[in-house]
Amino acid sequence: MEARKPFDRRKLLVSLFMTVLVALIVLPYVTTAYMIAFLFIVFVHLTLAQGWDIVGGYTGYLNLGYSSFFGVGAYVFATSILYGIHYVPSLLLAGIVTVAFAGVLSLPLFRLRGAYFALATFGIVLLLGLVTRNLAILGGSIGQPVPIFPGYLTYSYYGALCLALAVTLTKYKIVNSKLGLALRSIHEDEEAAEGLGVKTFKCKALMFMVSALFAALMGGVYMIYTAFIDPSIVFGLEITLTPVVMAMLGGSGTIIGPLVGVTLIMLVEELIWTMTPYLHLAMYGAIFVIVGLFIPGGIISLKYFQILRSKLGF
Amino acid sequence: MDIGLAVEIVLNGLLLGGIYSFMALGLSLIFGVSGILNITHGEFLMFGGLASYLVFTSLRINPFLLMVIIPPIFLAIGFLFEILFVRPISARPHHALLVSSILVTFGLALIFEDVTAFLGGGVPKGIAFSVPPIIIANIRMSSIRLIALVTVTALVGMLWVYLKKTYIGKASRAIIQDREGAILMGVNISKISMITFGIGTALAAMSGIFFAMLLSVYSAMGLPLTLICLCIIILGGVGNIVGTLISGIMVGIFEVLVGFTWGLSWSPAVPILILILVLMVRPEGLFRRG
Repeated sequence: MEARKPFDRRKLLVSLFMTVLVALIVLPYVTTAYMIAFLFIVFVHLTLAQGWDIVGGYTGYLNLGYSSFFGVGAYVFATSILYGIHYVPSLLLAGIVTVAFAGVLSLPLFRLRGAYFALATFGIVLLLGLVTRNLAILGGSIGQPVPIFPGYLTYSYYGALCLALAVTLTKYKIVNSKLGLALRSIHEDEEAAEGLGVKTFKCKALMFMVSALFAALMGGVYMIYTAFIDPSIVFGLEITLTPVVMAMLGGSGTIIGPLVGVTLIMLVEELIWTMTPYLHLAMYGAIFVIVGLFIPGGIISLKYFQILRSKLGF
Repeated sequence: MDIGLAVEIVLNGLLLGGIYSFMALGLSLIFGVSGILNITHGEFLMFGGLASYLVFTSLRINPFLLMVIIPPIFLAIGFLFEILFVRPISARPHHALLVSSILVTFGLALIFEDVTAFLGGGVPKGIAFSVPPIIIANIRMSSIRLIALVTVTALVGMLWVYLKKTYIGKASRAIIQDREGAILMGVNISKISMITFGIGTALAAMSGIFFAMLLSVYSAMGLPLTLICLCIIILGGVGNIVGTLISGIMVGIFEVLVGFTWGLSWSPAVPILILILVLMVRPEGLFRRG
């Protein structure tokens, strides 16, 4: 009897997941545009939080500049559309260029460790923001509109939903593979891992590029939603920090953690923060401080959440 | 290019670089001794600048007197900061310490920045204080900048004496070089760490006074400055005074040059570009740990 129990739970979880998925797919036909836009933003943050966690949670390298990939993807997508290329190849181009960018960037960045790495990645975002603000050809600091077809909200909704699913599945696959094991060994003790034959640089650079891919595609999809690009949208502090805050609050280095963090923060944002236009950054900061001081493992490491997890069996 | 302009560029670069090295030395000491990269460092610089602006506008005293008033206050703030936010996490294992320290100090930096902007610190402020320029052989030099350059040099000298001659300075260098060895020799790490946080914060606040006097102070300046400090520390080696000075001056001169040739809007790109280029060639930075 005992041995069959986890199997049943798994079945229950899968059927629950399928129901939610079907509901999300038919939702645009039955609900308001406001709801769709809200869910779109949820998926954007979920994709970014999960994508960030591929590097941040598993290898232990805190990438504080994840939005650089989001922004490069968005700029490539917008520029290529402005040159009259169709949306799908533009999106592919955004992905390819950003992955190459991440590959080049990983050379100097992964020579740094710990806090150095975190701050240097943050520097990359500031640098990209500066460059895009100064280059008039990319719209400068004023930005420029991106020509978008009608019905964009539904397209961007489905795009974001697909990406959120894809990044979560990719992360699940990676974590449960040999590569995932290598990543965890890097997290625990990089020298020992290197000594035992783990190609640490290759692993880290590969994960960096995988996480960059999802951010870049999301950047393109986000452009379909906003139909406008400027440096503060794609390289701003808010888009840079929210994924990290969400993943950290939920619990980084897990599949379910970022999901919990995203849900929680999006609900809080929707219910409370929309009333006060000020001090949003300070509130993100406060969450950072609280998590850092009191719950370093995130919400899912708390006692009742552990009990809930063991009961549901995930 | 005529000589006067060249001298002016070099002097401005030296001055900017001197201030940069000065603030980077504070962060470098803190990082070396406590193992925590204090991302709030730039915010203390901003607070130092704002505090000197407030004191100056309300009391109208000589700005160089601020050098006496401001640092002790920030010394105390640094002590308090260490006790409240660093001590609770300092016993955690290596990786957990890294993650929590980044979260706590980065979070505090965001809070400080946003609240300051909310309270009206978003607009650039500066101390208006004019002294007639010095003219030597047709070369015009702003005397306040020259005085600042001399003051920075004197302060770096004092820091050198502190690190090489006093017990606390020697103990902090010992911790930077070999943490376990220092503990075995009976160095009280938590006490030294608290004092270092105080001194580092005071150094940041002093650089803030220079910023208020020569440039301007505003709420969003903290994080980019912390980043410049980080670049200088990586290039110069943690706790290496000479390395930090040379790297800081290098960054300062390049910034002034780039600002002069391509326009001021490009100069903030210099430190991070230098960092990336140097790391491509020399992964360990330009200088060893001191």
